[in-house]
Amino acid sequence: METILHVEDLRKSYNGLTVLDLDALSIPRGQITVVMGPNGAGKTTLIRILALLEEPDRGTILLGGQPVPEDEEQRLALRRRMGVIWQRPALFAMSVADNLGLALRLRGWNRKQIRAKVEEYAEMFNLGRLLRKWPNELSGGETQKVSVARSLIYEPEIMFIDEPDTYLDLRNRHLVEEMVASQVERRGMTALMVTHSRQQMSRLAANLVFLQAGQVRWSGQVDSQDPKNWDEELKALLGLAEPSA
Amino acid sequence: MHYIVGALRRAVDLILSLDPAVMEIAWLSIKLSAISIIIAAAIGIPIGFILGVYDFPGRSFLTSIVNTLLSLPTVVVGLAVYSFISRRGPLGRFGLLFTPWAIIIGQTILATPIVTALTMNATRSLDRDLQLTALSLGASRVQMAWLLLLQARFAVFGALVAGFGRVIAEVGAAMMLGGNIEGYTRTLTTAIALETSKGEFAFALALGIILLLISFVVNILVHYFQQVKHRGAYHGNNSPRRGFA
Repeated sequence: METILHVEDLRKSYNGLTVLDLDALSIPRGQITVVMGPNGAGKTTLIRILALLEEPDRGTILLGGQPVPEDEEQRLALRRRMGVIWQRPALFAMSVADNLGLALRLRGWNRKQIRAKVEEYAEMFNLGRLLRKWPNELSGGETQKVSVARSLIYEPEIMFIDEPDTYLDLRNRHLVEEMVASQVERRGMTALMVTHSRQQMSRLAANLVFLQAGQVRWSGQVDSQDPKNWDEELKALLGLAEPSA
Repeated sequence: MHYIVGALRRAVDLILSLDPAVMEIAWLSIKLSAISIIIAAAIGIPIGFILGVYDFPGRSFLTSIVNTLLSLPTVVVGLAVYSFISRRGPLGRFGLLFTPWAIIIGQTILATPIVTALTMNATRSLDRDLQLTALSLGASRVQMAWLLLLQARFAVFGALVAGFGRVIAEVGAAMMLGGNIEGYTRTLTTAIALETSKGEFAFALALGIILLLISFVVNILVHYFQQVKHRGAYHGNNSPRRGFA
């Protein structure tokens, strides 16, 4: 399995408190890798560092086998191949259509190209009737749906997803999962998804990373959707271990 | 009482008949204040933005200075600028005293702290999530700054209007620096002071009514921008529960 992202000896601390301390971690290309772990395990920090939005205190990040450059222009080019769906979606003070097309505008697309792409994604996400609305006119679920579509519209190579369900109802949760899964399948997007939901993990994950206190406690492939077939250590970490007789 | 009613009636007549002398003074005032605000915007918006968005040593000290300058007495500004541009002052050779440019300099000094402080407050209240969102969508550092300013644009417009309201109504700097020369540096406020002292009550009243009308429009605009800035809401204004309705 080809690795798209590899980190070694990665460390990050805030105010003297270590939140991430990874010896090594590899993310396979073209699959969904789910990151789980208790609150404060360092999941969101990991996303911010891998998405090149935050600098680690030390460590190496290899993207497609190449170390991430220091140069800001080169880093920007790499950042533009990535996307992040945040737990708390933030839309800008502009119409939904402009929010959807924002990333394309930042990349210098022309109006006609942007409009065509926005219409395509608005239809895909059932957002057509919201295009002229402003963020304050949307419900929490609609806001998150717009933010998910806005991140997928430029078809990033790697998508980081940080607990996207917080603002979504069940129907939209499945819609978002479907959209992410279809981009993984259709064009080989790599997804790294943080979730607390075991059900979501078993539905989507090809691989799982379990973080605890900033360290990898378990990582590997998830071969079966049925928890019964998972190894004992993983079941124990997920609180699924059967009580001993 | 008859005297006041009579003066008021003549004042209204002067305004409705678009009396050339009244209109000339009003137009000059608006023009000088508008130029001052454009210059104050060019100085105050970038400084306010930097103080609002970026963390650096000395930020709180600079913030205190800007806040202190908010309450600058207009006559002190008039005195300070006078000492610089009077014939014996360091800038005396430019012959600025008793010209419209002298008034513009004084009014710019009065308006800049207002524009700076209000821009600073507007950008400081932006959620840090917006910065991360902009970067994660592929914004360069410059594009991110532009997006944040765009997010705060309604509050920044409000700052400019508030600054305009302050300078068009001030009398100290305009009187000391402009010299109240008819058709050249005579503004609404200096003309009101002069005409009242001459006993031309109706004329002064007409100018006063125009000044009040301008203040009224300015206040409506400030109120409008305060209201409309909330249209740029994001997750904070959207309860997640609304998504489940």
